[in-house]
Amino acid sequence: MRERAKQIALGVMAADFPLLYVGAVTLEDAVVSAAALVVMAAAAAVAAIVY
Amino acid sequence: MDGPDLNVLNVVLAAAPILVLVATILALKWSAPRAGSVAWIVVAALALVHFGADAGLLAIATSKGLSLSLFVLSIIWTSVLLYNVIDQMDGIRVIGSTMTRLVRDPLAQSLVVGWAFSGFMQGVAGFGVPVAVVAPLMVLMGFRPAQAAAIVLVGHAWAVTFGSLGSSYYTIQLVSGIEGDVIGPHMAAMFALPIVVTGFAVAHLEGGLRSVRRGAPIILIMGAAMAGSVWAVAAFGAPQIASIVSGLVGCGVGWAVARTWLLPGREAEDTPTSESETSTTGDSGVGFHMAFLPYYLLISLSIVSQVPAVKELGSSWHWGLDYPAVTTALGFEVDAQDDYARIRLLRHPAPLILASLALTWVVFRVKGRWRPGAGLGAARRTYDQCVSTSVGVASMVMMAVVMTDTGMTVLLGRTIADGTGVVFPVFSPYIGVLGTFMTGSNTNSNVMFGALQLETAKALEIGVVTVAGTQSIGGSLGSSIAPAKVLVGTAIVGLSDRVNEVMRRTIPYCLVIVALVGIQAWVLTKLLDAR
Repeated sequence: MRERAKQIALGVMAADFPLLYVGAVTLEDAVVSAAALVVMAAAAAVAAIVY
Repeated sequence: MDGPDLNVLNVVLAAAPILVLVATILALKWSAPRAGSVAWIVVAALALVHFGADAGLLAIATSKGLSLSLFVLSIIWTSVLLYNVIDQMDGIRVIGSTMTRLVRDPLAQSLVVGWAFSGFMQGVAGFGVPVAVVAPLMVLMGFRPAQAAAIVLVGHAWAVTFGSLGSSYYTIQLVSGIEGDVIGPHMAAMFALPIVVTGFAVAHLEGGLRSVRRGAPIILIMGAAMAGSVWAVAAFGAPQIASIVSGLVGCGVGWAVARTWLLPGREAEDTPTSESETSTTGDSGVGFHMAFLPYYLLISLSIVSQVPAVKELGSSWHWGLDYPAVTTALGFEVDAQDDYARIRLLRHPAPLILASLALTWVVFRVKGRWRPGAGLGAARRTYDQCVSTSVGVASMVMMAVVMTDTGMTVLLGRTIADGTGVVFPVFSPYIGVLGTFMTGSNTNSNVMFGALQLETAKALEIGVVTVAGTQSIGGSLGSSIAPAKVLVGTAIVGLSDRVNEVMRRTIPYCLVIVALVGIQAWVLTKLLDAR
């Protein structure tokens, strides 16, 4: 379970990369950027617990 | 350039993410991924609440961090995969046992295996592998376990920055924004001192002052050859193989010199002279040259990648994201950047490593030496090994870029500059050591402190290239005392309960060598104004 959560944290960080870029650079949309940051914060929080 | 004012509150808050990292890793014994993740959350909150970032700017800085991470992690993943594939073919054991049979004199063994060969292993793998592979070999050669672990920890520390196929080197180059053809040869030249001094340290660990006196000629000759080859390879434009080449050169030169009067009072050598006598064959029938084939190929491809025609051909084959200019609410400006953390298809280490692997697979299949399931086994092990490293690198890089793009790093740099003045270069390598001590990684150290060191140098108007290089050299040497690596060394030789004993041996050498590097940096910043 813990190992799975570690992999999920990395996977979410990787998947959030295009969302961050598209939201902030391509669309220049504050809402999409904020959503991407929330996703990253969630992944970081999970990483902080399971690592 | 505007930005946050230089006052106590701003400095304390700007330092908070780094303090969180230091406190959680050192005091709470958290892992790097855990501490890095919390540090990114802290820096993101501070950027939004206090340093004038909005969601767009923070997303851009975080995305830049992931771009940088992709550049570095692609090297880490592919180099670990390469190592694991060779290990699956029994090649690492063949290479190691061949090396141990080259020389018989204990001092020569400690220099050839503990200093040069461990540097080679750092060049190809890193991440604790040199300690894990070479320390047991030295125990088999008759060294006491604690002595063997200490020799390898100190002995491989010169090779870390240009090791792991250049991941630490590329990190400091990217974080500092200094062109590779500038910082590469400059830093390689600065490495001459620590390379030679780590050789003397290894001799001292082997047999005290007597070995230092006895080994002085061979150390100076090996050190000159290794330092010269590090510089030559970096100047040639292939820094990713600088530790590999210089480690091999050191082994060859050491083997040759150990058989002459230049190693006085050597034990009677029955050193084999032909390849058939030195080479070991593994269970799979893989000989030394077959085991070494991926590295022959990698070295060859790295050289080919520097041929002007190939450079020209591949100049348009690259991948990198464009980022716009941003300004915080406090007026801190960051310029637009095109092709950020650009990955060149024909020059970046990762594609070259994958090409070497593909060619190796073809040769092994043709010769009937490929073990069924080796590729899958290596891939699984690589995945298991790299997940944690990836989260640690990504979170810390994101933290570092957010600090840089919101003016926190500049603020800290100005504060350190005011506090230390022109003697800052003397302290500079210790910052690098601290980063590696905390995280066990020269790469992470460069991520955490590279920009800070650069901004401090800019504030002092001293050589930025020298200071950036000094950061990475300090980080490299810090590998000899980083608990994460010491634990690998002690566990592998059966000394898990005697970590302190090994650290007590390595810490004095590390601190002395780093002090010399700091003095060297101070002299260089005096002599070379522009650099």
